[in-house]
Amino acid sequence: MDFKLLLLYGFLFGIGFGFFVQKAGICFAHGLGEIYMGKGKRILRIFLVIFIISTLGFYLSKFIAPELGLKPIGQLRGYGFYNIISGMIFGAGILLNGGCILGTLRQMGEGNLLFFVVFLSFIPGMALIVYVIDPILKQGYQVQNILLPELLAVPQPYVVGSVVILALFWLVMLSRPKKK
Amino acid sequence: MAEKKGFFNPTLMYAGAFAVLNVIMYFVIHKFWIGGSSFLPMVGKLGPNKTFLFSFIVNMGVIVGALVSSATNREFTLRMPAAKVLPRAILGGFLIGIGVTLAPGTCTTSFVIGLPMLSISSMLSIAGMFAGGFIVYRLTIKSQS
Amino acid sequence: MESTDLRGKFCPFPIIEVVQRVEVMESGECKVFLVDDPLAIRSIPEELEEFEYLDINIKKNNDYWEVIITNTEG
Repeated sequence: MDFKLLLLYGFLFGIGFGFFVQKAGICFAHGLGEIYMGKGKRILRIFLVIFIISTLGFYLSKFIAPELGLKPIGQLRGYGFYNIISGMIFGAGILLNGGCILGTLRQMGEGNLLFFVVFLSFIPGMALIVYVIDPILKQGYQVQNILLPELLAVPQPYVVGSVVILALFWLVMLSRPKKK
Repeated sequence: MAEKKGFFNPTLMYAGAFAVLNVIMYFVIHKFWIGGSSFLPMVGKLGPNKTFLFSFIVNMGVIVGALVSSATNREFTLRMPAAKVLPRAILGGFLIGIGVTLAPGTCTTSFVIGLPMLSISSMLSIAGMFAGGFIVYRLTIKSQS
Repeated sequence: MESTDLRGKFCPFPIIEVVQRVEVMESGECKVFLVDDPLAIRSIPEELEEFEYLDINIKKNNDYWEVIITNTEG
């Protein structure tokens, strides 16, 4: 498929993502705040619904095309040390301005001009890593990022099946009305 | 406002629709939504066979989609930020810029794509996110209220 | 009717402020919160869903919402 057509598809899918994210009100900065406050039910239910549908969809996709299926997302950098550090920095950043990536994009679409400022202030942070820190660290991604089934040395279907059942069970537990 | 009871409340239906749409994109054009690294074209990195550029365009669509949705709900309002909140927003954005680049796939992507793909690096990133977020939560939000 | 202006506050501060103040409300008391984040008008009713005795209604003004919470317990 030629790249321009791919971009058009991507943009249209993006409109769909933005539409549903805004309608549902998905933001993990908000979600983390809820969890820290001990009230994480809403974000947990949102996350579990996304997790169940995506895990099944991504796993089953390998029966459609061999090059699909579960993929190790992101790189395990420095035996995972940098993943934790960058997760901490990212977590701190989103709690500071109240918008994860989806939250920032959503609020830009909702007319909150503060998040155009946030969006632009990504640039110095990214440039600092890409042009300053990365060359220094030079520590490549020598550790091959793997999936949970590989780590546990358990065939994918069993791991996928059990995590999805666990997630479904947790979602149902969270959704049943409180009996007085 | 929408009814919130039980299992089939609108929030979960729309969250499910987001996930289904993402799976469809994966089936149709073999790509999925990406968060942080999609902004790397802004610092000149287009990514392996221009994946980041593709994801950047997807995320421009996300902004438009949010605009359309908020307009239909009559929730779209142009809001200028007060000057005094800018430093904190800029610092937050700067940290996000660092966080998404220091180890790729350590942002919202971990929650929405990484964990469903059962990727180990995403699990580590999420652990870090909880820790980093909690520090800021204790320092700023707790002290304000 | 005590009203708290949470407009322009960094998320998740509004939801935290609302929940903390609502938890200490006595019966019959009523509080109003002004919010301008569309996410707040979704998460506030959902987060307070377990407090059945709370009556929450949301009034839309031109560029913000008034979340009126009354404690109807007892």
